[in-house]
Amino acid sequence: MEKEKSFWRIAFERGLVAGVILLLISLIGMLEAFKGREIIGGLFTMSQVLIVGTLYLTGAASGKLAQNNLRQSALGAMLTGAVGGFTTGLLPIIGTLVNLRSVLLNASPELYKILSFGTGPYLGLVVLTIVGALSGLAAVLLNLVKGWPRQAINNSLVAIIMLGLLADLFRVTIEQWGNLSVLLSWMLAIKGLSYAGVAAILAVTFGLSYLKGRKPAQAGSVSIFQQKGPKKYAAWLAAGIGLLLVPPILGVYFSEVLDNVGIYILMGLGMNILLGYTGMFNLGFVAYYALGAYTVGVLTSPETSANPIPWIAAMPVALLVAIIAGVVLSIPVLRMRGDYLGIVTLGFGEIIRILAGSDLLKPWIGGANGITQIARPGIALWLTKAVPGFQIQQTVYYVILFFVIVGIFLSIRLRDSRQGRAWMAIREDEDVAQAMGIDLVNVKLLAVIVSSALGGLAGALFAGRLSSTYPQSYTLMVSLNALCLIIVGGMGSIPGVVAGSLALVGLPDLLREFGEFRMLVYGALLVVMMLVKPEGLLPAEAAKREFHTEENAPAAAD
Amino acid sequence: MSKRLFVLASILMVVTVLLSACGPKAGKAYECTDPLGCVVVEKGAPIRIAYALVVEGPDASLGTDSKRGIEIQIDDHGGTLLGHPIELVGENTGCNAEGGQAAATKLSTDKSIVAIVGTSCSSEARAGFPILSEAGFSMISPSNTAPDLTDPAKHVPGYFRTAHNDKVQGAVAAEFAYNSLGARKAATVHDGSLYADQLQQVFAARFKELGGEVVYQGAVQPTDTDMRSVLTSIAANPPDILYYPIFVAAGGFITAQARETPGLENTALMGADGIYTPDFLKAAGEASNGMYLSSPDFTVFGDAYTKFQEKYEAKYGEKVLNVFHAHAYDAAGLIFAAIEKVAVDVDGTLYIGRQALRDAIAATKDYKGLTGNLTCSESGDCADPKIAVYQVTNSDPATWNPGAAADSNPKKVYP
Amino acid sequence: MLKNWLKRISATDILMWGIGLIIILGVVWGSVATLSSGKYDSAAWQNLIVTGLTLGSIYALIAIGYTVVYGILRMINFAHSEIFSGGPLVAYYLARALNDNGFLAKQPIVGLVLVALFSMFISMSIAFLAERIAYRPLRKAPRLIPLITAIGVSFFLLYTYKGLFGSGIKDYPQLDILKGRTPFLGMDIQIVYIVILISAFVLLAILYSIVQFTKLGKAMRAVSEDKDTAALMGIDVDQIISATFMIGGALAGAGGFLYALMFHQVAFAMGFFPALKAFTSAVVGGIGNVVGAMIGAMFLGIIEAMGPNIFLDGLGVPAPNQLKDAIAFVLLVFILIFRPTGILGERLATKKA
Repeated sequence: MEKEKSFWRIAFERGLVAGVILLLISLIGMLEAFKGREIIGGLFTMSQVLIVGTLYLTGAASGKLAQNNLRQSALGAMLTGAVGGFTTGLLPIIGTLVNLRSVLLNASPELYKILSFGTGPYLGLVVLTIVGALSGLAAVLLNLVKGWPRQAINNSLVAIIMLGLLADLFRVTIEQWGNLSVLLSWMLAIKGLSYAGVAAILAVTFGLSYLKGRKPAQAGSVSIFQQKGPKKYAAWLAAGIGLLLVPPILGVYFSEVLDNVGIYILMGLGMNILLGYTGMFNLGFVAYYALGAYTVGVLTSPETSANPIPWIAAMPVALLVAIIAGVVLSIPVLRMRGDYLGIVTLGFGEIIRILAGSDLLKPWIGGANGITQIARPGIALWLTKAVPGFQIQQTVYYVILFFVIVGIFLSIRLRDSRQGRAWMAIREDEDVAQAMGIDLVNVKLLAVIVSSALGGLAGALFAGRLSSTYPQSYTLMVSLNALCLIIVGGMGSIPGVVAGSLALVGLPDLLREFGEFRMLVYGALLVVMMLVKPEGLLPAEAAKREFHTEENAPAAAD
Repeated sequence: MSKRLFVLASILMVVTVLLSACGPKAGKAYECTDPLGCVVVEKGAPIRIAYALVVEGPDASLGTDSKRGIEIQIDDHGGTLLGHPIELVGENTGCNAEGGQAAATKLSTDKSIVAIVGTSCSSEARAGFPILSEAGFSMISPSNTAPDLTDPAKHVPGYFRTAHNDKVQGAVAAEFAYNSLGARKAATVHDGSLYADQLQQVFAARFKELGGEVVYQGAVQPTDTDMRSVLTSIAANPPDILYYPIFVAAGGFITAQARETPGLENTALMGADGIYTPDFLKAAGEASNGMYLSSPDFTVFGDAYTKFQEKYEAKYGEKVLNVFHAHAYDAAGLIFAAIEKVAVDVDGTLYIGRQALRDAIAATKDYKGLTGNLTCSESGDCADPKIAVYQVTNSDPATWNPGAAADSNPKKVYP
Repeated sequence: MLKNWLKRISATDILMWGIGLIIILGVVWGSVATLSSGKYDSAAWQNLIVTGLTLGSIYALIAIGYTVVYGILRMINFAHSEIFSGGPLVAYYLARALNDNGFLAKQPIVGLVLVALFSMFISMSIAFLAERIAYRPLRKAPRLIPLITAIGVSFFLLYTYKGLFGSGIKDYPQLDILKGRTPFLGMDIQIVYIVILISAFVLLAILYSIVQFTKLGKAMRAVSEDKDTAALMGIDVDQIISATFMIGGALAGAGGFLYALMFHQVAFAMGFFPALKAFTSAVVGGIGNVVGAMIGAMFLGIIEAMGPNIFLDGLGVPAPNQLKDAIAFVLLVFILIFRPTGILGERLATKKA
């Protein structure tokens, strides 16, 4: 009896949480913004997905608490959903009685209409409560399905929502295939996915899950890239060809997004050497980036230079400038540790940003006007002319890809070298490292040199890609992004840097649909990610072990 | 693995062939001869208009405000054009070059978009518009004011703006200060934005040309709140007029604190259209009383503009956020008018030639907009360059009612 | 003796002294040039100093939140900027309501205190919730994880404010009793500045006595010294951490309210720069040290208000006021180079943190 009571109470509280989340989503204007965003053309919209999805997920969470008792589980999930729906349903009623809008801008009649599914506020309360209860029930019933069908249902739901959200991007990508676009264009309605498209997604996900489900799961299976023999080379070759084919197949926009991702990968690699290997905190990485970009700008633009030089000649100078800045700043602060180092570098980044836009340096670097007509990498320009239909974003992709590969290669070689081991020794314990005969200053300086060069290179590519540079581009946000991406990817892990860039730079670019809510979602996901998977997406082996032991012996963590 | 892939691929192929076999066959009833190609809007499909504005981040109010202007223009058309619903899609540009380029790249790939309203900031247009131009799009900016964008030597085909060229506004402000106010010594402050910097340069150049002296040219950061140090510098050699063509937040701080700075009691304060909004009265408080603001001459179009503001408040629950909502409203209006002119209707399917659309916008003459009678020049300037100077007569934002009458606030004082 | 001393000098030290010397020379040269030109009279300097102190006292209130949290958790609470702006943003609606029904005109002091308390309460609640939901589960995680979480919380809160309340400017009512100037300590100062200075000092004094003289303060200091031992002594560590966040939040809310009094306007993104400055001053003063944060904040406020005019002006830098923030950060770098622990800090920077 005692246990049962606490279960109902938890279910009730989760319902309130669901209600609060839904109210927040409503009041920040997300529901209204997505009301026209149809996931499946003519059937349901993103707003409805958000409402039902929230109730469904919280209902599922409640249902899982009493897995052995189906009746209780179902009732609990229904209670959660109903409470969530009821709480949310109160908003239109309160809104029609009191004018909430003088404080909360988005509490509009339009919102109330969405929340009550087109019925009035009072009927809407009933409807929303029932929808909540049904979502909870559906969650529990779906949970009964086991094995591959369950997997298939989950995957297809995610795939439908994602593809539906990206329908516009999907459409423009296939449109540029010309006549070949009929291969896939039937999947799209005028807005969102067509019924045929949904059917195809269902068929594919069910088919895949069925094939996968039949095979017994292999414990500890290794990825094909790590296997021995010709299979490994074939896999690498396929991956390489795949990367080379991205611009012609996926088109201009994907290339643009990947250009951005590549630039952040370079910065992430630099940050990774500083923080992931050597344990040096840096919140001003944007300084190297800005110096690289402005050096290329000043040297190659006819606006700022009497004898403009090509990009490829300016790039090494940019690296040199970034390295000198990194070293000059680092010598005095190398003896600091941890957060203080971060704060000094943060200050340095801000100084560079302010100077870039100042009247003081305006005669040389343009101030608020920025620098335009910056030279682009020559090979990219040549390719743009040589291959018909190729645009600069697609050709710069190859230049960036080349440098990313060089950067990754360099990182791997350094990591496995004597220097790399010295870095990691410093990260683990500076005093012990020094006692073992490691020259702290020299070893740290090398880390600074490599990372600032990578930052400068990223900046040089950035300026060359845009062909212009403005002071507003070099905010603290760039540094924070570079920091967050290596943590989200997994500290000290090179695949992690790539994964982190894709997740934090690539995904937000693709989900431009979210518009003004992008940063909000970014923030929320960052928090959730750190709570759920703090070791990162693709953690390095050592970090994995570390997080693992901590779970077993939390007291030893300090 | 390969076997599985093969099975999947074959399934996909079969489905594809089946579905494409029973899909509707669109008969080509109209041959598009436009050199840049045509946008085809199928029967019942929406006409897609895009925005490229800054709608998130610290400058969000600038773009959000313009976006709302477009939305109200769409509402005023009843949401439809030539029997097709109007759909507004768009991209955030972030008020920086790479944001502008990313947005432009994304929009350039979407061939179903007819035309674009954007960008918010001049740097975005410089970096991004060449991509859109190459892809055949036309774009009208509601708020780019940098002179070089419509400089005939640098103009990119397809670029237009309903925002006025800063050359006009800065010069009018200087003439007013020198001739009407009788100012001989001027000081200027900008906030590091392209807009403010170029505007104050034009002002200073014209003021010197007229015979005046510019005693101080300074700058602040747009995020600064404490302006006393810059004001103290200015007060060391008090000018007759202080010109700060910046935005609402910083403009409010300068106005409020200038009145509290000893030495600036007799200095006239003047801003530009960046702070020509009731929000500025809120920000500056009582200190805004008596201040001069340059802005498009709204006196002729007062009624339409008031109605616009009412619609805006009813729809969004707050007052206008910035100045370029009306320009965006007109930009969208120009596009709709041009579409109506050039679209060819064949059994409910619309064909809109891209070059024809460009030409139609460029040929715009005496379009009655909120911001004036718009006529487009060859190099893309569509704004009605009638600039007036207003004086704030009451600092209560609720009394905001621009006009030339005695009880207007702000009241037109020049020309 | 001298030989030994010479041996200990490295190239690093020479470089540092070189940089330091250049900065000091620049400052002295500029200041002398400005002062000898006689461009500003003493009233102008007085004005700038008072402004700097007032701004500094607001920074101090925000800086406390950074410093106490850092002292206990060794964590930079990036979300503190949004904790600071949340209070005045929500309290604006109370102020507006009180103003509209005439209460603020009739009972200005009671009304102001009500709004201030409400602002403190809101900021305190946000700080409490952020700690409870986002930071507490990460107590045992490596140090960078809570930092990233804090960045996430900051973005989330910032854009939630924007979504809920819009991005427009909100103007606080201006009260007649706060207008005008009055002689104070022989100077002619604006009344609102005196109110801000006094309120800030009272709050800081209350905070100081809480930390130094109450049981809660003792527990806070114990937890900051050593969490495990404190727990063994019967201190509920989680509760103390919650209390720390709430105290920091409440002071930030008060700071936000005073900020609204000083500048009359609040907006959703207003938190970032004041908080960055406050954070800088916490570091300049020696992070983890309450008195240090106060001194650092006052120092920063004055440097910011006077710096561009006193030395950049004299050096002939165009548009010196644009570089105000750069001065603050150069100062930060400079102080940390020569005194890595801040003005009053313990030797933390070179100790294992």
